[in-house]
Amino acid sequence: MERLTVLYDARCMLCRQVRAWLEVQPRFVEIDFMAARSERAANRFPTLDQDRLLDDLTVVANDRMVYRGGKAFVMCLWALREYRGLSVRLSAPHMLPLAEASFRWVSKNRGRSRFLRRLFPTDQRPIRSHS
Amino acid sequence: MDTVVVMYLSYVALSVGLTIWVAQTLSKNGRVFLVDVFDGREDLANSINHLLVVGFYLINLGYVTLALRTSEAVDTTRVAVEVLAFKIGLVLLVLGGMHFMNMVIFSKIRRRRRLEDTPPPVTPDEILAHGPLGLGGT
Repeated sequence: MERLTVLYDARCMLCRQVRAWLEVQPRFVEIDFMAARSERAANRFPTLDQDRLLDDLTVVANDRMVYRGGKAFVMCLWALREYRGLSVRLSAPHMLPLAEASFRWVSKNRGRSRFLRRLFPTDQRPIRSHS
Repeated sequence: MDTVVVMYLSYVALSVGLTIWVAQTLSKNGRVFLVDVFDGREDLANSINHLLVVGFYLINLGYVTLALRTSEAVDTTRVAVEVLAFKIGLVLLVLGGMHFMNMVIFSKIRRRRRLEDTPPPVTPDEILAHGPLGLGGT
């Protein structure tokens, strides 16, 4: 597995900020970013369910493995040199459900949460998500 | 010979002996560990081990010789033993500190190495029928 493609909600401020952060981190594995529901994504992954891409963060590896939601985020961490250890700890049986639930909450509230807005301040108001 | 010279000689003999003993422990056990970390490449493990041991000797023998002298009036055997004990105590602490630092270095090397080989920690939710187009996907 040498490359990961991250399909994210490009309208979401929070997602864009996390993408920017990921891009500058030292990594073990190359990461490509692609806006979900874009033509590029549809062309690159014709067999992938395009409708789900806006609901859940999706990561596709070049060996055809697909990861969604919290697992997708764990895979992003796994790709990074300084966070691979964390990704292994988060995937422990007693930790993974918690990590996935937390990620689901962030994902669902990414457009609306005042708490998240305070954690990730931006100049513009974040766009409300579909869900 | 003056009491103080006897003390100095005992100090040197004990300190050098202790240093050699600790260095050999580190060298013997460290080597096994390094061979594992470097995937069986014995010449590489030996070379790194040797470099670490040389550094260890330099620092410790340097400390031992620097700390030799005393300004106390070592006139009686009692004072000689007390001063000797104090100095040996310091040598042991320095050796212990160096030993600890070696362990930290080894453990960091090992952790780094293991991380590089770590496979994805989660199972995929789906596997695509076809690889991503436009890339060399299988």
